[in-house]
Amino acid sequence: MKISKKIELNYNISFGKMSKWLTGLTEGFALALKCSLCEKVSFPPQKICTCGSYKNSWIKLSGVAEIVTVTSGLDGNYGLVKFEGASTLTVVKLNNFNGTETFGKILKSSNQNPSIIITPTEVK
Amino acid sequence: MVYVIGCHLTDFNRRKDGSSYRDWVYETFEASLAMSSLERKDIDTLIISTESDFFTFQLNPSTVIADDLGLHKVQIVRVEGGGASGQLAVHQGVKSILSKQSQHVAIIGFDPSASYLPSETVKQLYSNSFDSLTDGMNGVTATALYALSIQLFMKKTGLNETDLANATINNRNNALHNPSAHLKLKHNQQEIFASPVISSPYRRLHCSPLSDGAASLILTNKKPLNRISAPNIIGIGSANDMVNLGARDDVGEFVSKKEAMKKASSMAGIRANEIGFAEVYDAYAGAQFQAIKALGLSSDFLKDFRDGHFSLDGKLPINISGGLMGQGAPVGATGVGQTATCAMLLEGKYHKNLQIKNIPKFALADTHGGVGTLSAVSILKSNI
Ligand SMILES: [Zn+2]
Repeated sequence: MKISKKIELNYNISFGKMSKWLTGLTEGFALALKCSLCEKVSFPPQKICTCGSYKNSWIKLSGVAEIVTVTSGLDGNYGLVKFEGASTLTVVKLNNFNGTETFGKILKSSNQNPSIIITPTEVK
Repeated sequence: MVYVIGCHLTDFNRRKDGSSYRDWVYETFEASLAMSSLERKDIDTLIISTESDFFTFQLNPSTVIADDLGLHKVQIVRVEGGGASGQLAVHQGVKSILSKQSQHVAIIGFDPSASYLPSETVKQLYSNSFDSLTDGMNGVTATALYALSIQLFMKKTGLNETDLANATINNRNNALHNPSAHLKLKHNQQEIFASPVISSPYRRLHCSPLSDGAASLILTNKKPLNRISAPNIIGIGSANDMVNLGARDDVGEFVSKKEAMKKASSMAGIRANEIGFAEVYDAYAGAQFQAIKALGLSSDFLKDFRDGHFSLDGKLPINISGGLMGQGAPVGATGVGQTATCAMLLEGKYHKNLQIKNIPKFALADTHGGVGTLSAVSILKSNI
């Protein structure tokens, strides 16, 4: 015997301190956190720096990234990239990857799905 | 001391018999209890491991399971740490005995593959098992994240796609002799190279399946006089790394595993090179190599693999069960099942064609959640 149950989960939730960052993505820019102590710049932002400091400030990156490596296939194109001005690498979704591009520019994402997506480019 | 006096794994597969996870939990507990020679009323602690209530349609599952198993007035803990849940549950049991809070602990791990949910829903839920604000939003899959990590590892170590294919062939070959395994498949290299690319370099056949299943252990604090061969758990350790791959010091290395192993071997008082058998967390073909290196099981993992040292008749057999790739992976059951496999093997009670003749002194069960994000390992000692 099988019973079919359907639950609809319609999340309408807030993201606190990270809201600023998510809003940035929907407007097409990359907001990072810069540590006030060691100046490390994290993107996505880390609330506590790896040096242990919790003092930081938001900075706006250029949105241009250098591609480190890309994985492609049935699950889509995703990459690890280094955004200009960031100290960390970032996992991104790639829009239309041909396999030859080495750079990318952050793309404005939808209001309802703020995500880190880049459009790959051949040149910086 | 902690003794393993009961251990069992149900079949790992996709159930088509109309059974429920509550049946599998019952089946595995009864089998472990029978092996332990304890009675139901002797169990004073129940530890449950399952990853997500989305898949079971049951919040707070530990209490309904206790009722199903006829366990009353016992301590109950549910442990969750993604893919590491089962091994963390083992740790919880060990800690409970060592702190003298418990004498007889039942540990049960389970999960349904939730094949009754739309596959897109399952994919979305698993995306949210990484950081739901970043990875969850851009929909990156576990396969893609593991792929990014293994790409950097391959660049650094020289591991190549033929090695990935051979590891897949080895593990599924072992699974052929494991009656409870999910993927009992005899592959050849061409078949693997022809399988569709999910996230380069990972192809469909390099992935472990999501399975239905349960596994259990019964631990006790005193040497069982009627079973002096019952093995011990002598070391446990866990550690984390950053969830966001890009924030890690080294994206290709499983640093958390190295730390977890350091803690476990220090507690056990042995070195990694004394381990004679290991069940490692091969969620993907390459993850097995990342694990072996991080755990320090070999000083040259690539040469040792290519020389056949990790195969069934090698000097350090790895994933005799078939691993996650062959035996399967019901998330919450995985770590419990890996430890149960080690315990059976150390007592000479493993499946006939897979039992190692010269039983090693020490075995290792290695589990993680995320892409090596939360690692948990246990070291067992034989008493044969
Ligand atoms: Zn800092």
